[in-house]
Formats: sequence, C-alpha cells, structure tokens
Amino acid sequence: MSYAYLFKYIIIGDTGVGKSCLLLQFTDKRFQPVHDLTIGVEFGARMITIDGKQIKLQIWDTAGQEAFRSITRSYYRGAAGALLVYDITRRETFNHLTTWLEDARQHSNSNMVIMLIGNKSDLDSRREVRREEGEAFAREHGLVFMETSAKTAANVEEAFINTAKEIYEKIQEGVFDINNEANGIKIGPQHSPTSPGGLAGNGGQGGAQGGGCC
Amino acid sequence: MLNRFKTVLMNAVGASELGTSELGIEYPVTDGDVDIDYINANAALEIETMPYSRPSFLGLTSEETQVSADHRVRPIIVPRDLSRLPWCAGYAECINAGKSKLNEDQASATRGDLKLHDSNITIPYVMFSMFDGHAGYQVALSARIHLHRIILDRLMTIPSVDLFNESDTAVVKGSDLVTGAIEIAYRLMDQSVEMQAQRGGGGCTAITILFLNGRLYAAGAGDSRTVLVVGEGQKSLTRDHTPDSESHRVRALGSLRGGELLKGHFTQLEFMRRPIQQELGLMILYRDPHMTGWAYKSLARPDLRLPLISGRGKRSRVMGTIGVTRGFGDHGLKAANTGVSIKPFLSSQPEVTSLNLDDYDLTERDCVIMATDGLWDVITEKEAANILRKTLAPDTPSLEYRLTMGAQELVQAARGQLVGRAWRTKSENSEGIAKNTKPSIPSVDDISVLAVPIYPYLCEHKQWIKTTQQYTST
Repeated sequence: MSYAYLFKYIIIGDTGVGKSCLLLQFTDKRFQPVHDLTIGVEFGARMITIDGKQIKLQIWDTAGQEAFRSITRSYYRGAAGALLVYDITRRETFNHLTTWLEDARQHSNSNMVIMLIGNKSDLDSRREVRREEGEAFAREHGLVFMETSAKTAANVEEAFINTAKEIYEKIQEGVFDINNEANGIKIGPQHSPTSPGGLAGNGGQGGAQGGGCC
Repeated sequence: MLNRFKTVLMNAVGASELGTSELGIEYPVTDGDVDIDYINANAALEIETMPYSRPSFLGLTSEETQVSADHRVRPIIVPRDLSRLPWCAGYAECINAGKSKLNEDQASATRGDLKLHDSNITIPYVMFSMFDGHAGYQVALSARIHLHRIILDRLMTIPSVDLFNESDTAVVKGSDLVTGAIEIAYRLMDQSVEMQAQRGGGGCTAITILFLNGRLYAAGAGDSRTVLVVGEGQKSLTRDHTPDSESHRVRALGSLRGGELLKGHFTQLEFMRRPIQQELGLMILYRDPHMTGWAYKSLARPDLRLPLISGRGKRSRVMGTIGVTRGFGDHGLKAANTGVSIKPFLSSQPEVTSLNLDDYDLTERDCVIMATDGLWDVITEKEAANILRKTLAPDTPSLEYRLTMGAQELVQAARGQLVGRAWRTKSENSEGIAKNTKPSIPSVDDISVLAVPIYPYLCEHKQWIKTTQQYTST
C-alpha cells in the first residue's frame, strides 16, 4: 500500500508500564496480559488516514529497563514522535518521567512531538497517580497528554493518531524539513517532490523506496 | 547448471548409501521446535530465486527486515522469541554504517538427533554457524541455508562403532572422523556456491561450532572468530585467515610450477622492503615461501612485479584485492587490472579444533562467543569475555535473558553511539574492562554475535548417556 508520509515513532518509559502492549493493541488490536521483557527493539507498523492522506506509522518499541538505557538512547534519532508512557498504578514510573524527558530532548531532534501517556486506566481502583498530575506535568513540559488502557483499548487509537495529527500540522506549518529523513518523516514513493534527491536521502537507507510492503 | 548443482548435492549426501528420497537423502530426525534452515528435495530450484532475509530464528517480517537495515540508527536486533535458539543462546546483530545496503552477515542454528546409517542409536547434536559475506549477500545466505544440512549428511555416514571410540589406541578416533566430515562439508558447500557463481560472485567467511558426543568442535575459514569463555579465562578456538596470517600457504601456491598461477603479474617472493627499479642488480634481502629466515639476492626484473601479498594484518591483501584467504565463494574473482584468477589462493578448508567438555569444570555461565570481524576488529577477546561475564554475573533476569543481553552488550560495545555524525565508543569503558587498552574506534561494519552456553549441552549429553545405556542394556 502506498502512503503519503511515513512517520517514525518511538515508545519510551519505565519497564512494565505497557509499552509493548500499547503497540500490540494499536497494530494488532489485541491485548496480551503476559508479555516478555523487551530486550532489544521491536518494530510495528500501521496505516492511518489524516486529512484524507494515507500515513504510515512505523513504531519502534524500546526496552524500558535501566540496563538498556544506553541502547535505547540511540533510537531517538530520526523519530518524529515519541510516546512517553507511565503506569498510573505505579507512582515511581511517574517520578521517572523527568529523566526520560531529559533523555528524549537531548537525543532527539528538537521538533519531535512527545505524547505523555498514563497507561492502565482500567485499573482505576489501584491508581496512584491522579489524572490531574499527569495533565499538570504535560502542561509544564509542553506535551500532549492522554490516559489509555492497552487492555480495553481505551484511547489507544487516539494516542497514536493525535500524535500523528500534531506531526502532520507541523509539516503543514513548515516546521519539519520533510526532505531530511533524520526528522523521522519520509515522503511516500508516489508523493515524492520533483527533485529526485529528495527521497533518496543519504546514508543509503535500506529499502527507502519499499512503500509497497506493509 | 541445475543438473550440475544437483550432482554436487548428490555427492554431498553420499546418496548411494542412504536410500530412498528423490535425492537419496534420508534426513535425521530433528525435534522440529528450533530453527531449521535446511535443504529439502527442491533445494536446487529454490536456490535460484532465494530472496534476501535475516537469520530465521530472528523471526523478522520483510518489513522489519527493511526497518532493521537503518544505516543511521543501526538498531541492535535480537530474537523476539528467545527459545528459538537452542538453550536460549544469545544473539544480536546490527547493520553497517552504510558500506553496503544490506547486512551481509548471516547465522544459523540447528539442533536435533543424528541418526547414524548403520545403527538404531540416535545422538543429539547442536550446531551454530556464522558467515560474513562480501561483495553481495548471496553466498552467506546460501551457506546459512545449506551448510548445516551438508554437514549432517556427512556426519550420518560415520560408522557408529568409530564415532563413539575416542580411545588413543583406536585406528581412527570419532573426533577425527567428525573433523573430516566438517572439512568435506565445507568443500562441498564451496562447490555448490561455484555452481551459482555465474550470477554474481561474492563470498563469505564461515565459522561453525558443533556439540556432539560430549565434544565441542569449532571450525573456521576466514576472519570470523570463535572464542571459548570459561571461568575467568578465554581462548580462541579458531584462527583468523588473512593474507598476512596465511602468507606462507598463499605464496607457496604462487611459486608452483615457476609461478604459473601468477601469470607474470605478481611475485611470490617476500622482500624486507619493496624493491625499486633503481636497485636492479644490487643485493637485496628476500625470502621465498620455503624460508622462515632471510637471504640476499641480486635484484632482477621479475622481482619488481607486484607482491602476491601486500600489507600487514587486517590491511593485508592477496594480489591487492582481497583481505581474507579462506571461506566460500569468490570463484570468479580476478585481481584488479590483471585478469589473474584469485580463487586457487582462497581456500574453503576450515581449521577444526575439538575439545572434550569433560576436561573442563563448567558452570552455567561458561560460553562460546561466535562473532564476525565487526566485533573482533575493535574488541579484544579479553574485553569481549569481560563484557559477557559482567552481563551474565547477576542472578536476574533469568540466564536466558542475560545471554541475549550479553550478545547485545557486545554488539553495542563494538558499534558505539552516534555522536553528531560519527560513531564513537564510550570513553568511560567502565569497570571490568582493561584500563590500558588502546582507545577503540567503533566498527562501521556489520556486527553479529552469538553467545552460546555450554553447560546445558553437557547436561543433555549426560542424560543421553544414561538413557542410551538403559536402552542398550535391556
């Protein structure tokens, strides 16, 4: 399937907050209650429509464990959007947000759209972080905020799609240089601007023209 | 061409002795739950159109394969399902920084029960191989898919009475026959690659480890390397084959029949320093392939030819063209600007070592590291062993995770981090790593690492002995 744009996302946050489950819910529409520890990086992809345009989301799901932090850092590069996830039933995952945010800001491109996600909203009885706290943190740091449940799928679509909408708006405003792949945005094969150099990019990105495969 | 290839396969499996299937192959029983990259009866057809893929135990979709080939980010890829490798062995890889579009390293793992042709006894085996392709991905891919099957087909032909005999008084030991089987299989693999060579050429290095009958065999052709990490020590089980390390063998070939293979373009002599035209007639220091010392000779015109082997260490080259002297493929390769064929100087013969695992006091943290030169070019064996030991040391998470983490740490140590536009290794090469090592430059090559635990095999082997004794005594 061809697409107008490809956006690269990264999902970050402490271990066990539900990053892999959010990805699985978004790409496969299913929930897996027991999920193996993510060691490396996992990839997911899905096509969405914004403003009548096909947009492919390529999502990199990272390991949350502290031991993998240095490896995770290298994946911020070339991401247009990030989902920063905490678990509303575990206060410490909220407390660590500042560190994650610093990491993200330091290692990503400055225009990266960051969406703050309070996950596990279905477990309201065990809630340790109030919704207002999440909102306040997001406001303070200029993030978009949303509470989700990877289990019930509540707000999961919205989280990914709203992030894409923000990125799309930034493109319309000319904030993103869409010809620079380091920004995490790629123009689809049929939508390439007239300059042939636009899509080819540099660094020999493998399969840059492989829009046919989804 | 198809028929020629089939003939090679027929030879590869010793068809006449074995029997019944289309190619006369009688496959040993495998337990089916682990990655199996193998030849089937239609292999001769498949090989023609084999699409590019990553090792099957990674379980990557073609889309994921594309995404993982990101030369700017160089993501470190590990198996999604750790149990797809025998004993949850650790594996990690990352692509080069842009030197080739695709990752040209490959790896394969196979486990099963070897059924000997002359006995009802089956014996468990586990095999891992790794390949580092050059000038294209095809040969490494082909080796990944076919080498293990060819090795197994040779192992099956070993008489059971010999295989289980390691006595010093035996006419031939089981380990010598296993070594021979691997050596033949490597040659057959190279021959089957030659059948395809018209399409594009290229080649690959190869390393294989085989656990069989309580022994560990390590075979290597080229500059990928296998290192045993036991306790606080480590030692390499295979030797790098470069023009420098194999100077003697290569130059000896060059001197055959008055240098016939060199066609007057190269000299097999080694000079203390490269002679120049102005020195014609003067005495210079040289040695021929049969010498280890030096001698004087009067400089003659043929001595001014290009040296058959130039450069030192990793930068050494055969005929100024290739930096690795063993492996599969490169059948059509010619020395630059001369048309001299390089293949006879490249050998597919592996060097095989084997050790009796009972001689070692093994714990569950003891491993074999297999890696391509993407790792070994920038990390010493001691550094690698220390990184692995440090990752395996804690008790959590479970060992199966830590093996993969260990492989990942090793790839990360070799790849480094992208700082600005350049890859750098961490300056704080933290504790456990020798302080006084040279400042390391990260590898921009494809990097692949396997960390294979040894202890689980030993347990399986002991269990097998027990079961087999019960079986044979009843």
